[in-house]
Amino acid sequence: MLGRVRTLLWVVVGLAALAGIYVVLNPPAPITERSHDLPMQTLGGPFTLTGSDGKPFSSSQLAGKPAALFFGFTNCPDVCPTTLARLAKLRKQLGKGDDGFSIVFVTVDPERDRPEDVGRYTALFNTPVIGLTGSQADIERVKKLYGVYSAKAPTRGGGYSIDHTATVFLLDRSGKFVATLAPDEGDGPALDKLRRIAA
Amino acid sequence: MRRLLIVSALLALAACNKPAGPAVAVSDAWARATAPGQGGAVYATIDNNGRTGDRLVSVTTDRASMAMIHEGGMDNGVARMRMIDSLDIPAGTGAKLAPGGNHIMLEGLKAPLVAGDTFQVTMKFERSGEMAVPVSVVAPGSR
Repeated sequence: MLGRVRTLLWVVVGLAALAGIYVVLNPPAPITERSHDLPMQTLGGPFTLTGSDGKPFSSSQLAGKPAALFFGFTNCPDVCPTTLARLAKLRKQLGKGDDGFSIVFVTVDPERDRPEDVGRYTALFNTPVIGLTGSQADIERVKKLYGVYSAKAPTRGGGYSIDHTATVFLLDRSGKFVATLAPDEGDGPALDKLRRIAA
Repeated sequence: MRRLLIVSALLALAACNKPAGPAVAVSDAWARATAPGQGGAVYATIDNNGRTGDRLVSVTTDRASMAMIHEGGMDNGVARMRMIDSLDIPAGTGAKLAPGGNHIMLEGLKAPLVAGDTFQVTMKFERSGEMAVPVSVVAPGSR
């Protein structure tokens, strides 16, 4: 009886050792970089991209007014125009005109979105929207600053769509990241946040 | 006795009111204006007041080279959309094509969609057959 227990204990010890070896050899995959995984304080920072006029656009040009930053792509028919339309509506509700906050659209598809494409897209909203593109490296850098995830998803027509973070990043007057707006957040709480930032 | 007969006849009539098969009706179809080269999305309310479910199996329009049924949604704050072969239109509830969710994606638009325009799409349902649906184009910021 005692011998059997001892054997069993040795088996347990052996299994634990094997598990230990397995973990050392196969460390758990690093957590994919997404906005909600990152501590909020680390988000944001200065960047330079390209405006819809083809000229460099520095994030310092946003200073003086709060800003709502959204990452998308012009060939995105649903979530991107829905979000930009929502921001335009919230800005109107804030009652400070276009001064309430800047709406900034950054493409995650610089391969297809040239400055003129971004310009034509942002012009659709009948309200000032700053459209930005850049080199693939520039865009990757800004995505990293905000912990934005994006990945191409091939479509049956031979083209591609892009899965991407749909969170809106709110910056205060000094250009510092202060809060996010989630896509499913009600307009009430969203407006409260914007009021605080634009106060 | 006679009253009872009338009441039961009325009840029977009320029950007949709901068709045994699907009764699909499409309303409030709309799309946002698009920039040149951009794809479009069509939204609509699809009711089914029948007693049997139906399925939307295809959409066509002469305004675009391809119209696809898309399942859209959020996964941990990440927006995704995928083409699906058909969309269930359950009896009673129907289905809503709405921003941030399921929609009809128009790829290869022959000309941009302009606010104020109306164009036609044909929705084909497994049981109810084809339906011509007028789609109103609105300014992107208006809804």
